[in-house]
Amino acid sequence: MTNNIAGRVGYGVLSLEFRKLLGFRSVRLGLLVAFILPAILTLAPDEGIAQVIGADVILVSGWQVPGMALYIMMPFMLPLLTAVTCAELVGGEMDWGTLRPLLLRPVSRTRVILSKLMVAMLYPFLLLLSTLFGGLLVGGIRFGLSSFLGGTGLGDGAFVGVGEIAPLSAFAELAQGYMISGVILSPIAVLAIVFGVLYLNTAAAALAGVGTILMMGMLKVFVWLRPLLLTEHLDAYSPLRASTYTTQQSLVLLLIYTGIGIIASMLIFERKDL
Amino acid sequence: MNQFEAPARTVLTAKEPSIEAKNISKRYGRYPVLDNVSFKVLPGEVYALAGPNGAGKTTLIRLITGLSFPTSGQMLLCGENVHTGGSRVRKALGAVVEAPAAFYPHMTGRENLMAHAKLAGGVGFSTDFRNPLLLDENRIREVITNVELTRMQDRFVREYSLGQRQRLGLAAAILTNPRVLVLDEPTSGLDPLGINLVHRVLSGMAATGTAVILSTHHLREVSQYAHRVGILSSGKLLDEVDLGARSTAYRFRVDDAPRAAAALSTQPFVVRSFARPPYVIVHLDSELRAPDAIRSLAVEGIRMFEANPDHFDLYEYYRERVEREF
Repeated sequence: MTNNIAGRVGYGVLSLEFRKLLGFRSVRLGLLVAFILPAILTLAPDEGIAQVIGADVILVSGWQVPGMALYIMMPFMLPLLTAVTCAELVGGEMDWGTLRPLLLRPVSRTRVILSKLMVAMLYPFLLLLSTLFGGLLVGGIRFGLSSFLGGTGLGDGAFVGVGEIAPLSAFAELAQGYMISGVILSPIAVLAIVFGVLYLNTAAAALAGVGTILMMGMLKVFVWLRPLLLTEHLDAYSPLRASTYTTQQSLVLLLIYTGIGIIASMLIFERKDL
Repeated sequence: MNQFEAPARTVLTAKEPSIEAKNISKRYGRYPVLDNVSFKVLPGEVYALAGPNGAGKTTLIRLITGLSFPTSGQMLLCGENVHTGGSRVRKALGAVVEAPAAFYPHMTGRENLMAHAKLAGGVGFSTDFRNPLLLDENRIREVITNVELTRMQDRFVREYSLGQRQRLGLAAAILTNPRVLVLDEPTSGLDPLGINLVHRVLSGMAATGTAVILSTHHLREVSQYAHRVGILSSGKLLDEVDLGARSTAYRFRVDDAPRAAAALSTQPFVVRSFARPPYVIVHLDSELRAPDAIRSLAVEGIRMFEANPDHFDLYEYYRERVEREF
């Protein structure tokens, strides 16, 4: 019976965290923005898109829209949405005053923070899913979703491609690119939680999270430090990246960052005065 | 309550404290907030923490519940250290540490309580191991009824008034029938009916053996049902007032107060008597002796016009005690 209760508690905390996530206004707004941005971006001229992405892009298929949206949203928009919302997972609870009542129940702090971390790491995937479906919807309506000559932007040959690509292969390329992007955003989500636990305030945590990423971007002036900078690996989804690191190397480093962030947030939260 | 009846307080017999603070100190950097605070709260006892703003009441409440960590000292709940004993120690705990009580605004009152029930593991405290207290829909309905929120239960918490949130907080705190109930300013923002409801619920919980500790500024209210009051000032526990020991005093309005005081002082059941014209104040060895005291005045031919319990004025005592400290 004890195990059943423990299981129920675990489920309770996780499901509660997920429900809380969907209750945040920033989440609903973020998901909406992620969904409609691909539609707005398709209105832009191909030259403009090509300039921003830094590669030849001529949109001819609906399968290219999610890839194009990812290239434009990944450098800033998606990390920002991730950092703000994940900071709110802790800071928002402090604002509502509900974090303390949660910890008055016989639930360990480790379990609470792990649930928050799991939900935080899930959120980028929800954002990406929203962008993917938004892109496919508008792309399908505007260009159709049949086989085409070119690339999705996330496979070999980027948007130019390597010949004709079938719908199933196109979807597989997009799924892989979006999955990698989710992994890329995970350390940002975890970093926001670390700062959230440290400051117990949404604005401070979000600012610290975004500030850290911007500072890492600046630190690339130290060439020897580059391999360790998170920002050097945020384009790991892109076949267009000029980086010397392989996707696998980048993913390993990002996972290490995520792991360090998880441990740091657990250690800080365990003895945090609330 | 008739006029001879002292405020109802359960008789405390249990020896093992439900809450025990052992030399608790707390500092934020170099700034001390609590300094070597020690006290005990027995099962069935209502203990009120009083003190001026900044005295350290809220910090102490958070230390009792395990939300904050002491710089030194130990805090025991039902004999177990709340800071090192793991989350299971909090199975004995029900608490409201925010004023007003905080809930998820996008969930209804009932849904919030269901979330609390889940977090508590679905089972509350029961003395009968064969008949555990299940935190199911029936129990949630019961506590919602106890705090008179039945009509609001399916409304989003964001639509609740301050007082309704306070009452929902109390419902969440008593949901598991906890052995230890900790409340920070439980009557803050409540109307007189709400305050009375809180008093009733807390007294009821104490009567079943729950140790209740609350912080408050409402000293005259709390003196009606608390057993002891701890006076906190500048992080130190200045004094503990045993209100139970002071509840057997009566005030009689008589035609000759000095003679009445002299007459009463000869009675074996009178601990102390003195004149405060037109009243005579008498401390009895038992509240059951009040009719005997009245009878003895009649025997002496002293006319009596009014008889009332002489409530200890906690507010005056508190004011004098805190002022003396400064």
